This record gives sequence, structure tokens and C-alpha cells, in this order.
Amino acid sequence: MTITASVDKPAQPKSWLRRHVAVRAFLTAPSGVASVVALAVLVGVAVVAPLYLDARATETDIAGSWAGVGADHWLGTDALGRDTFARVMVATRLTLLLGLAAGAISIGLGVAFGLLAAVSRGRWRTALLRGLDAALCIPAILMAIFAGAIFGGGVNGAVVGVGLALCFPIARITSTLALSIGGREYISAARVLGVRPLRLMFRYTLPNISESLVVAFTLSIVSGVLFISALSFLGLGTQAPEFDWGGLLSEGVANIAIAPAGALGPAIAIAFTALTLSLTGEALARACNPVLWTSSRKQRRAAPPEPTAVPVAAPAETEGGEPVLRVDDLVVTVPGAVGPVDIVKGVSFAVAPGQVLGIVGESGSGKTMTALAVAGLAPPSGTVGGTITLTGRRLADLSKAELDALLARELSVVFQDPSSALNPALRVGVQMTLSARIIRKLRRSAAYQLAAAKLRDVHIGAPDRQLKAYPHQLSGGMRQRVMIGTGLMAEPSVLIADEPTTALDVTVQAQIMDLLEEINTGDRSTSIILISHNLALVSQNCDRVLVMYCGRIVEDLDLDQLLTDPKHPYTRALLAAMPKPGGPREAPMATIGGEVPDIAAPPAGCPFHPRCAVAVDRCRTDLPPLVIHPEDRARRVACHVVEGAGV
Amino acid sequence: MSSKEPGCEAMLTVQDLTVVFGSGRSRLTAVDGVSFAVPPGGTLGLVGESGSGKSTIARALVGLVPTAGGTIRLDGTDVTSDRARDARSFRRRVQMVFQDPYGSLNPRMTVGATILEAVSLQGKASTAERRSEVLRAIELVGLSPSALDRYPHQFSGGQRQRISIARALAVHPEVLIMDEVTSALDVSIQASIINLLKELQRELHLSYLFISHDLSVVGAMSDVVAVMYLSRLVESAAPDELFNAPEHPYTRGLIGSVPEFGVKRRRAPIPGQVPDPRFPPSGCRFHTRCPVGPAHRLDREICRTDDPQTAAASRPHSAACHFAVSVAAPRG
Repeated sequence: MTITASVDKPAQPKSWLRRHVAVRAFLTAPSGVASVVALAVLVGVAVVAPLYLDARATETDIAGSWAGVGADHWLGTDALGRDTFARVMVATRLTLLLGLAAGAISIGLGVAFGLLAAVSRGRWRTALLRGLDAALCIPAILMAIFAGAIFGGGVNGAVVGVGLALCFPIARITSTLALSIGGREYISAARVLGVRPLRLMFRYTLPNISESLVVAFTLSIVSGVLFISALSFLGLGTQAPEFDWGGLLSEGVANIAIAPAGALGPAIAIAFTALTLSLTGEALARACNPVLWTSSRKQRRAAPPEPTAVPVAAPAETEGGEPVLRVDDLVVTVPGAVGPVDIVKGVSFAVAPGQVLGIVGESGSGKTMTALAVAGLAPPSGTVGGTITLTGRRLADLSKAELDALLARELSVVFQDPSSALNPALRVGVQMTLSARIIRKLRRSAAYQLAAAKLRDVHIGAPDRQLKAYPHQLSGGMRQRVMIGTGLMAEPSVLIADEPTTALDVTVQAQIMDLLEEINTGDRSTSIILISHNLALVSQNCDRVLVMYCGRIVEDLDLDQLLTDPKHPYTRALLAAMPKPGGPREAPMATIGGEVPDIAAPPAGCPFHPRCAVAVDRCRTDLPPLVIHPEDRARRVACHVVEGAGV
Repeated sequence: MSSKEPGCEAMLTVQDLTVVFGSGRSRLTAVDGVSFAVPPGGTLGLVGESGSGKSTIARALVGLVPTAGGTIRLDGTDVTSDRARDARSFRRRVQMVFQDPYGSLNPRMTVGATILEAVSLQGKASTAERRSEVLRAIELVGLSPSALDRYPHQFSGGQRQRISIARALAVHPEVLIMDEVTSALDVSIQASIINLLKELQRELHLSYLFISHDLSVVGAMSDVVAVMYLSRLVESAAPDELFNAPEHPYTRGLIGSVPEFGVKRRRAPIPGQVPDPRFPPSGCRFHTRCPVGPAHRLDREICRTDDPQTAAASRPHSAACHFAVSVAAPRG
């Protein structure tokens, strides 16, 4: 164990004892700055306007009624000759206070109701949630009118009524969010530590749903302003001589033919407030979530300049003539946090007919992306460079329709997680026959017969019944069989299996590997690309193995070479770190120090050098090219240190 | 196994533990009469496939799910009641580390605050004392104190798993229950976590209940390995014995299914699927898939009718099989 020297920096700030350092995060966001400025304007007007403009806003001047827009009256005057602009400004204070009060009531009641429903159990929870659903069915404005009338009209009644009416959506959001994170492991971990329910709620549940609640709060202030306006219009809210924007708006709308500007003023004020509050909500939500404002592992290091192109040795010659799949200098680029990132950096290999090629690597090695790019499934936001030749045809030369047809006929992919790779809403038969019916234009009955035959091939009993089943009715192993059967529908030349057994139990894994072997050795002798993190699995099932690290192939070797004489230090380290059943338990296991590097910012030189036990100076500066081993023409290796491989 | 005489030898003893979910038609006995003992300063490995009930045992032991029967003893003290396992005195002695390094840390709390939470629950008084406890915990798992200021998402999976271990260690527990703690990690990281756990065990004299679906990892960690199938324990023995001379046909099949580097694979040793645990097969629960059971041998009707569990304790490895026999595992 590496116990680090006591405290490495004694003077370092102990900010972890405080809760959030979020204020700066709030202010550094563009929406944060904008919302602070806009809020300052609103609050300034609310404070100052009644002090200076009250007289103009309330003084009647019958002679000057319905004055037009002009220098004296920026928005004209109303029926009693009062200045509309001054009235809008003065109304800011009352309107905001009412909205704020209604919003506060709704968020307080809503969160309390929602959490209560989330923490209650069994029938109580069901009753509370159904009650909330029922309350949501009543239009909020009706409820506000009803509650406002009960609480005695006037401003107070309106505020309470609107607050009550708006609390139900918030309660529903709160309970749904709280329930959705209730099963998270960090909640379980806190319970195991003995964190009590109230603290659990305020330190664990609420902070993790706060983003949505902050937005809901600001929205309910806006709704509060609008609802109280509506109530005022019905004579339940503010009563003359008090006035708020809603009252002004309804007056203005009623007289829009005489003084159009009269409605414009309060409308703009309401819109401005709504915009300000939603901006504020967005910035506050951001400040609540440290994931958004602390640098992630990825952004912390500056990306070093990408080394210039390295010559890549062509794939070792395949026996048995023309390869069924050939990939030359494949590069996959996707947008990253700080610019485009190459996640596959010049990969070349070939697959012979009937060969089983294994691609091994840890997470982030680019093994899956390599396969997806070959299958035309690279993410739409990314770009794919290099040449892919499938059954003798260069994919880049084909039209879209030709490409689709070729891929559908010659190449299939089986994904890691069969439960998410199958569409839960469609019956198995529909999904299996889709491609055959669209690309090969088979009739429905013929396609279903073919699908049943393929299910029999993957050892699924009663295939006709299973074709009518939905994916959730099948077990994980059965679903993966269905996926493989679907992949075999077109009798492809190449089957790409991306971690096909990682989500399955080990006894089922053995069954699926048997099935893949059968497919490989069957009449069609389908070539298989098996992608896996599990070297043991690869060693049992593959003829040839590519070892990938950080987007590149570091070693390309035969199964015999992998078993007896792996050369690259990474391949060796990976083999040594594998736990073996029944292996010695006393000695510590061999490990690879450090972490898998971030593919967006790999170390300079050989990406493996920081973790490599045999690295020399050159490894820190020069990227070793992947070259054919001079004494061993069937092997490619990318290492300065491996004898004979250095150039 | 050693749990025949419940008692003072073992750190954590579980006798006939039963956990039931739901009722009526959806009633599921997730753990059915399981007995085992975690040796003091040693490791009991619990291995099984998904749905075998191994994670439920972990959650029941730390009081996350209620138990329906059986007894649990911690160092001789009865902690069977759910209330006893909810008490702080119990939580200070038994802690748990979870599977998902991305989901088991509160994303809104810094690493320091997360560990401090555990320290505070221990009842340490002064701020200085708490701070030194937090530093001790983070250094135990080999991370630098500068990690304390950062949030979980700023760490890699392996580092996060170290943080989870630090949180559990912060209360000075005696027993650590670990549920698939290495399953989400890369091979190279997995080995370093296993080494860390072994070192911590030696230095702090911790007792581990180590749960995993991965036989190789369980074998590398454990002093005793218990194998589960469909809510029940089918066999338990020291790893060398278990791997070299398994008694139960399911254990043999399970070992035979694990791919081993460089060893040519045989055909899948266990056919079929795990049955629905709500409706377990009669008699021996494995009889529907057993390669030496009634489906293959006519004279073995007893497997359909009689539960081999009843006489398990008297057989070697406590094997729950009427025809338990040591046969070298099919490993090349």
C-alpha cells in the first residue's frame, strides 16, 4: 500500500469541510451574469419606483385621459389620465412580492408533499401519489380561483390560492425525482453508515434533485405573477386602489383600441420578469451541480500536441488468400470537451475467411469504436478516416444504397447488452425479419420461416412461439441467442461480437461461446471479430489477437504467440494481472501501476510508458510505430524496447 | 461448514438466514436457509450467478432489507433483529462497500465531506480530531489528501472504489461486506484493489464477506468460498479444495465455465437457464440442469423428490447433493 507522506501541503485550504463553493460557479456562467444584472434592474425598480413615481402613477387628470405615446407620457395615460409608464414601474414592487410569496408557498408545500409521498411506504405512498395525480387533473387556475375565494378574496387570498394551486406539479416532480434516486447506491451507503432519515433527505436526496426544483421554483414565481394577474382581472386579486401588472394588463387589453400602448407596458414587464427568473433558475441550477463547474478528469490536463502521423505497417499477410475484411489506417474522430478527439488512431488489420479475430483492451482502448466504425455505426457527430474493404469492395466507393445493402448482407453486429439492443416494444419476430424484408424484399411468411430456422440454429426450442414473444419474456441468454440469430439472418461473411457475454452469467457465457464457435466452423465458416476485455476468453476462442491501448494496436499476434511468447510489455502486464482460479493467494497480485490514460490527452511518446516497467527515455518522447517483427513476420508490435521491433 | 456450532470462533455467523420479498403470487424467497461464518481476520467468499441471492445476503446483513428468519451473530452477540442492525453500535462494527464506483458516492458532496459524514457518525468531538480521522482514512487507501477537496466525478473508477473503501474504513469497522467491488473495474485496476484489500485486512485485522460472480477473484481473495445457487448454499470449502475437488455438480460446472487462459475450452458444462426463483424446482433445485441428475440418469428420481439440503451438513464441503462426489474440476 502506498501510504502518502502525512500531509503533502500543510497550507492547503480545507474547503472540503465547507459545503459548496458554488457562488463563483454561479457568477462565471454567462446566464449567471445576465441574470444578476437583470435581477438588479428588477429589484432596483421595485425599490425605487414607488418612492419617486407614486405621485405620477396615482394622480388623476381627467382632462389628460387617453393621452397618446409622447415625451410627457412614454406609454400614454389611462382613463383617469394617470401615466401608464409610471404605473407599470410602481406596480413592480407589489407584483414581484405577490409572485415571490406565491412561489415560496408552492415550492414549500410542493417539496414537503413530494418528499412525504416519497418516504412513506406501501399503501400510504400509493394513496399520496394517486392523490397528487388527482389534484393535477384540476386546472390550476380553477383551483386558484376556488382557493382564493375560500381564503377571502383580496391579495392575501389570491397569494395563498395561487401558491396552493401551483404546489401540486412541484410535489409530483419532487416525489418522482426523489423516488428515482432512492435506489442509488450512495443512498444505500449512507443508510449503512447510519445516516438518519432527515439528514438523508437534506444532504443526499434534495441536493441531487435541486436542479429541477430550482427551475420549478422560478417557473412557479412566473406562473404566480400571471395567475394573480388573472385573479385580479376577475376581481379576486388586487383591488383598486392597489394595482399590479395583471390589473394593468387586463385594463390595457380592454382598452386596446383606444390606447394600444397601455397593454404593451405591463406585457413587456411580465415577459422581462419571466425571462430574468428563468435565466436565474438556470444559473442557480448550474451552481447546485458541481459536475457542471468543477473540471472533470478529462479537462484537467491540457492536451499535448498530437504527434505527427506515424507509419503503420500493413496488416500481416493472411493465409488463405483474399481477406474478407481489410481495414487500413482507420481513424475515428469525435467531438470532445476541448476539441475533436481521435479515439481510434490509425488501426490496420485484416480478417481472413473463417478466422476468429480477438480484439482485447481495457476501457477507452478504442476496441469497440474500431468495430462500430467498420460496421458503419460510428457516432453521427464523429468522422471516420481510412479505408475499409469488405469482401473485396471499398466501402468509400459505394453509394449510400449500395453500402447499406452490402453491410446488411455481409456484416452483422452482436452487442454487449442484449436487453438494451432489442426494442422492448416489438415482438422478436418483427425485429428479426426487419432487415430481410426491407433489404432483401422477402415476403413476410418467407422471412418468418427463415427467422424460425435461424432460431433453431442458435438452439432455441419452439422457435415459432418465441418469434411471437416480446424481449422481456426471454432470459438474458435467450435474448443474446436471438441477437445472434438476427445477425445470422443474412448469412454474413463477418460477425462482430462486441463483449457478447459480458452482461451474462458465466455458465451462459460458455453456452454462447459454444454457439459462436459452431457458427464459425459451420458451412458458411463465418469470420468472427470477438471484442472483449477478457484475455482468457479471447485465448480460448480466437485464432489471432489484436491488443489495443489508447486507440492504437500495440501488438498483433497469433494465438500461439499470445500463449507462449507475448512481446509487448502491455500484453505481458495484462496477462500477469489476470486473477487465476485456484492461483496462489498469499503473494500480492501483479498490477499495472497508474491509471488507463484519458484518450483525449494521452501521455507523450508511447502512451503506455508511465505504467511500463521497462520504459526507456525514448519511450517518453517518441511514439513507437506498429511494425512487423523482423524475425517473426506473423507478428506486429509497437514498442521501442522489444528486441527487433525498434526502428 | 464451520457454522454448525454457532459461536464464539467466528466473527460473523449466519444461521438459516431467510429473506422474502413480496407476498402472494409474487412472493420470492431470495435467500433460503443460508448458513455461514466469516472467520475473524479472514475472508469468506460468496460466489454465484445473478439471481442466486448473494447480494440480498449482503443487504440483509447491513439492514437494508429485513430478514424473514434465521439468526445473525456478530462476535457472539445476537444481532438478528432488524433494530439491532440499525443501531449505531452495529454500524460502527460492520460496514459495506458497493459495486458501482460511479453510483455509490454522492455526486454533490466532496470526497472529504463524504468521509467526514462517516467520521461524524462515530461521534468524534473536535474538528481537529475529525480532520485527522478523515486524513487517516484517505491515506489508508493510498490516495493523497488533495483528493478530499474534489468531487467524485473527478476520479477514475478505481480511485472512486478506493474512496468508497475509505468511507467504510472511517468508522473503524471490524467486518467489511463487499458486494462485487471489482466487477466494474478494468483488469489492471482490479488487481490493485484486491492487493489493497488484502493489505488492509492484514494491517487492520478486518474480517471480509467478499461477494462476486467472478470465481477467479473470489478464489484470490478468500479463505473459504461458499457457492450459491437459486437462493441456497450448495457447497463451501477452502478455495484450493473447492477448485481441485468440488463435490457438487453445480460447482464443477461453474468452475468448468470460467474461461482460463491458454486452456482449451470444453463444451459448456451446464445446459439451460437458471429457473425462475419464484417457482424453484422441487427436491434439489439444480436437478433441472444437473448433468448427473435425473434428466440423465433414471435411477436418480430422489433428486426430484428429496431436498439434499437437509443432510448437507454431514457431507464433505457441506455439499447439498445426494450424490456428492469429489471429482477434479474439468479444467483442461
